[in-house]
Amino acid sequence: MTTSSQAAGSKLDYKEFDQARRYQARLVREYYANMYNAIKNGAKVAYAYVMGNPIELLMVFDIVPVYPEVTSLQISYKGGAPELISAAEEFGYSTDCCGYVKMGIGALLKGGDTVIGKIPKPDILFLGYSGCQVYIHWWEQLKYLFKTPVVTVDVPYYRDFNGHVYNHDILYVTKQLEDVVIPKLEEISGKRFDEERLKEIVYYSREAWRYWREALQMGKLVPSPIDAYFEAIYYMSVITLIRGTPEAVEFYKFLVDELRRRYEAGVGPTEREDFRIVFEGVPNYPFFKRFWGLFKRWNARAVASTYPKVAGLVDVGAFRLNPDKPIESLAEYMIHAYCNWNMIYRLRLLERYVEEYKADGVVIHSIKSCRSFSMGHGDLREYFVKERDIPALLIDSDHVDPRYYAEAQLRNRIDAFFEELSIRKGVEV
Amino acid sequence: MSRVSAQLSSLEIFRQWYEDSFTEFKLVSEWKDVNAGYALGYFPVYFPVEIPYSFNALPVALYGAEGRINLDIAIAHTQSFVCTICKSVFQLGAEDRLKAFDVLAFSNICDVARNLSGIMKRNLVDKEIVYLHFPIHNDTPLAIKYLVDEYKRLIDVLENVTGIKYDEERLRDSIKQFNEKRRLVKRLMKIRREKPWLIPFTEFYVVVKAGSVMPVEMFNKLVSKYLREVGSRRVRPADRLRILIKGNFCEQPPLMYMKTIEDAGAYIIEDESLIGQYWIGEVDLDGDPLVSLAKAYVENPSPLTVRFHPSIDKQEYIKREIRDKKIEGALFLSPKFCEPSLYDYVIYKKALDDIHFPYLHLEYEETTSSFEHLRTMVETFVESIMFD
Repeated sequence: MTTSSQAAGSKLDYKEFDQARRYQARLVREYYANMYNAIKNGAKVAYAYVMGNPIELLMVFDIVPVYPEVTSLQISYKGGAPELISAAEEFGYSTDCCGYVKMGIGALLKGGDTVIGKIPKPDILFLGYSGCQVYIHWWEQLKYLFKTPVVTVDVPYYRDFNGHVYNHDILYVTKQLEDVVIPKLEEISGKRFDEERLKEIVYYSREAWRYWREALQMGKLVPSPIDAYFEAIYYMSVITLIRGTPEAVEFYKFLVDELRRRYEAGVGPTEREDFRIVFEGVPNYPFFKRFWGLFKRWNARAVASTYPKVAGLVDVGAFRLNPDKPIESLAEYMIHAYCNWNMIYRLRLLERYVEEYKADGVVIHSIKSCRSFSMGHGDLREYFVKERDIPALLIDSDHVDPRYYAEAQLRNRIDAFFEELSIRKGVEV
Repeated sequence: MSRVSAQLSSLEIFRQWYEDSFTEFKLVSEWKDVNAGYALGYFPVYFPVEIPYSFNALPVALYGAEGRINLDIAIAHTQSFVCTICKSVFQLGAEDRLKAFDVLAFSNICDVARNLSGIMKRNLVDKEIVYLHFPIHNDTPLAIKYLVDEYKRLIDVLENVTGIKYDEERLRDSIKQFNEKRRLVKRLMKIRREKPWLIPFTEFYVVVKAGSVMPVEMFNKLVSKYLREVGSRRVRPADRLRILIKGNFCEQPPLMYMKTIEDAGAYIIEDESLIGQYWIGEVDLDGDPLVSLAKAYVENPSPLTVRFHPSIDKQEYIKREIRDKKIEGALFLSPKFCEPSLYDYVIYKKALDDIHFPYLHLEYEETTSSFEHLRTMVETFVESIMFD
């Protein structure tokens, strides 16, 4: 199953083709340095969510966004989750509450001290209610605990089964941004709204999305130069944290170029590409690399996945930012967070990935913490296996809580899946 | 009302509808046949029942199956860490037990219910499924306008299904009936607050749950009769603890679970189990009825866990409830895996900690079948307060 270019490529030093990951790490460090600097200089801090977030608006007012979902996953990646989760559980949160919430609240209960540094307290809670009901409850907890004001944008669920976004949905979100959110941000920041600045930020966001889309779609190439799940999770941090800036655009241009070079040299994230999989679900952060290793050892590459698009389903053209209509296009963007799509549309998206990216099967990683992502994963598996004869594997653990990661069981299930795929595909392993 | 039903006491009729409301829905089908009508089943917590009723569609709350069916199919389609009501409603659909319903309705009460709407659609392809987005930006007038638009969308669906055109007057009549229903339920609640020994909680529950299925006129007539029966009762009060229960607003605890709590030495003065049946309160009959319904939701000053309202202070509310209703202890009952209930628990708990008020947190599932542990826990809780 190995092509001549792949064989030649495997002898090349992969590090040379893995510079974008280091590049993004540098940008993330700079983002935090800038954030701390701005806070030192008196900037207001807004806690914000990743999905469907109109961060461009906060940027206009120089309000510093902090993403507790991102800090939680980073803390978890560095092994710091248990003590924060314990702090929250001792405070009263159940083992069945979302791990992100418990870590975010646990960090604040411990004065903000974590393994990745001090997490600042919020001045405002920016509630972009898109794709996750727990978003509401999380900020509500903080509102009661710290008396922090909440700025709300209610984003209706993408609920029509025929692919309609209702006009009144877009109008409603647009009007909230115009009539409620902007005046509130003006009041909080003491700055006037500058539409020209918003247009410029939206322009840079659009460009970053454009190159990110191009990078993601390179998973269609055979062999794929990108692991569009495990590697893309690193790359997505730039679109999440610093879109709206020229730096983000430059990063994604660099990434596209690197992926092109990989393809031409015949190198990729695994030694060969024996299996092409579509990945659904949130990863396991405390054991991220080990979890990835369970797939790498089978030379399996994720050619498409959903999680790296939680910030926006850009690859299928669900939205397009428009600097000439910045607020309206942001409103439309907010509706198209992945988890804000109904399950029929999520299923069709996965189905489309399998076909367009010529995948051999679907891996579904379900996490206990997130019902928004995971409720219905069993139904997806039933559909692929029983109605489409597409191999599908359903496994579960958690994204941040290491208590739910049972590697031996996961490995058994994953091995059995690829053994079956090997027979089906005629791959010698 | 059929001739057989006419010879039964009101409570016996409530029991018939109550028993029918879990897995059978035969009385719903009968009603449809007799009235050439339709039926809309809705997932809890709140639904504007007045709208389908004005289309001659019986609105029925789908509160789960209380452990009366095997959940084998649902287990394959849903994760182990989701609540049981979601599994049982799915199972009812998969076993074709929801065939009486022409429309199934869901809303944004939680992530599980949201996703369940799509899963139901995929598995029940021919069923009309409608999903309402209830606004969360409820401290702005935009929310009312938005909700009116959502109700108009529901009307479009109902017009298509029933072939009946929307009629403002019919909706107003429907609101009138449901206002009366809610007033009657509140009268029952008042009796439970003032003389809880007159109506055991289990009986109250059967009556109100029956009301979540039966036609509203029938319910109103029967409750009026039932109230007369209750008024003639001679029951001696017992020395029990007055408790308030929060958290059980969606998935229902088995009736035996609630009975065990009362048997352990408590009077359940108020709980949230069927809150969706009365929470909306009195809907204004003047003006556009759709606007009135939307306003009643958006501006309702009572907290509802599944409705975010930025201006409502839940902590102050529970303190006031305790004071006004002379509550002596609080129970938080959370359905297993129910995040909304678990998050509100922490908010309320903090308020009670601040005033050193006793409470106990328990978890349940609609399939819970062993109650001895519960009895021990509640007895200990009650005794710790009564003999303090």
